[in-house]
Amino acid sequence: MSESNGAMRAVDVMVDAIRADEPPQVDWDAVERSLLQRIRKGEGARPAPRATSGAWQVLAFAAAAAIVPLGLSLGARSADVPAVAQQAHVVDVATIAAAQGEAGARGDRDLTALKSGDAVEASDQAVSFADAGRVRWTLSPDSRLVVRSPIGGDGEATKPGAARQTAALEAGVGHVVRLERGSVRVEVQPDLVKNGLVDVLAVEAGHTRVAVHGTAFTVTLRGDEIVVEVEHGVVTVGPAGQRGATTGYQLPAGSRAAFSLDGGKHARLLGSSVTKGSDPIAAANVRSPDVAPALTVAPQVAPPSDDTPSMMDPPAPSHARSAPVASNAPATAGTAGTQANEPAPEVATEAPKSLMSAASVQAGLRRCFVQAHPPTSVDGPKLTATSTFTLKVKADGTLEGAQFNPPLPSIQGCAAFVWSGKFASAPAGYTLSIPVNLSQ
Amino acid sequence: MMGPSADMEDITQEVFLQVHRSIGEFRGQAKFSTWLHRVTVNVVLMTRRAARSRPVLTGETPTEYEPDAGLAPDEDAMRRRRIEAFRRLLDRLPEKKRTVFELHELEGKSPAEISEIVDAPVLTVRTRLFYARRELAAMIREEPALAQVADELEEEVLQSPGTAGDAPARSGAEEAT
Repeated sequence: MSESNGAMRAVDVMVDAIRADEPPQVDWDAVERSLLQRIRKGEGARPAPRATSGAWQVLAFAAAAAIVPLGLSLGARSADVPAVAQQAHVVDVATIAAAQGEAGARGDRDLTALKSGDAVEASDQAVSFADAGRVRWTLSPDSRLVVRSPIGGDGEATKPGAARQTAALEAGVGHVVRLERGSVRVEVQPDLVKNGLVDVLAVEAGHTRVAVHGTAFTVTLRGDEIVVEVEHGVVTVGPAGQRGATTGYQLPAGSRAAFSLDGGKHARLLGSSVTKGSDPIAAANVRSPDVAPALTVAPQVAPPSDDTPSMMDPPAPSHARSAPVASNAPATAGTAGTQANEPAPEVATEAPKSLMSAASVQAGLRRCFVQAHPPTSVDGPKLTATSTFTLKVKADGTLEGAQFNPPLPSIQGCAAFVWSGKFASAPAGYTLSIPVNLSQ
Repeated sequence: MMGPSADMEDITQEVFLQVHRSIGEFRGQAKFSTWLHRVTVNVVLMTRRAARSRPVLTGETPTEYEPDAGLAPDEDAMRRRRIEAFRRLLDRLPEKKRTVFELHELEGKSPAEISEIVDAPVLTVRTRLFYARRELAAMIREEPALAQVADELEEEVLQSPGTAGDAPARSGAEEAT
């Protein structure tokens, strides 16, 4: 054994000796001269070139040529949204049959008749399309939209509306329209929104997408931005082109905000709110962009009492503030800060801020929670949310920052109401940590 | 892998020529350095096979080497002789074991890299390494210039404090005789 140990160590020693040895020098000039000579004589060429070599190269280029646009298209657009032809086909609304049931009686057209690439234009009168009363959108006068993904998808055309739509949603296909001009108001039945993985209905404008997470909202294209007004439920505004459900800013009912067309990188809350329960056709008949008079009311101010916090009326800050408590805002949301000094033109007057307390904030959050998660049956599952809502208050009592830890995405948009109030002032400012324990 | 020989420049040239010919077949499935190593190893192996079929006329005299300043001429000569002897032992190793041993011990390649270069599983590479070392150790005992090295190292182990008690019984028997 000792012999082999000594011999083994000798192997190591000799290996070290060889490695420490100076590497032999090569006359590179001579190598180059001789090499070029051999190449010139044709030695470099393979005597019997393999056909596969060239073929593989061609295939590789072809594959690359195929993969690059495919990759780009996947990156740029949701897979669930079929590509729309460059020249959309403008449909003659008069030729489209009336929707079934009550919607048809109301004058709505059959939404299932629209296909990918169909463009719908409304001139003097608003135009409404509905699918068995489950999904409805109304195009305001002087507006235009293009169907990117029809209701129920492009396939399953033989199934009836509801079944087709359910099948399409299960397959991950939602209804997507692209607003090219004017304004569109959207209504979706809440039961269709349960899936959560697919946008049941989304409105795109530029590279920004507004997705349904509730029942009614209006999107108005105005210059280089869109104005989103939420009547019921919650909508999400974020970049278009993502797979699955849209992620980004969450707007609760009653809120009104403007977003840039680059995926909503720049966002600002506007004065609210919407006249709930108003006749959608009547509301939509307000010519865009003059929807504001009908929809913009003076923002209510959160009263200091526990009972009536102003969840439905997010603040109308004089400075732009993009989703102040929305931790799920896009990473680029910080760029909204660059607009921080821009005045919000929608806000005509700013109501005096009322005094808020930890109790009023907690009451407001409870309402937000109930609004985001309506109570189900007694036997249904219980939902509980626990977090800490930290508010940084300036010396004058106004809010400097607000944050949920951990985040509560479903109510963060709604929690923006805290910006409308004023807290007790203190010489050096302070931080208010409010425990949040919500359940239904 | 070749050691100092007159074939060095020819082999270098051949490697470049092979790279020039085969670069179109490189599809990026491995690192370029790995592919280049594979080409080089193949060229070296081809050269060795060709050399085996040629008669060896004389040994190469390493006249181009200057003695190290830190070594006396006789010490350096001894070192040279041992290195040449070890290279001869390497030449006697089976080709696959030798390639793996040289890539690992002399070129510093990891078993994973070697497995890509020689297109063999890592476990096979490790096995070849193990047996290459064991065969070299056995051959060293039979090579007078290197057996002395092994003896000296063994002696060092025996004389170093703390190891005497662990010395095998055969050493004690040798001292007794």
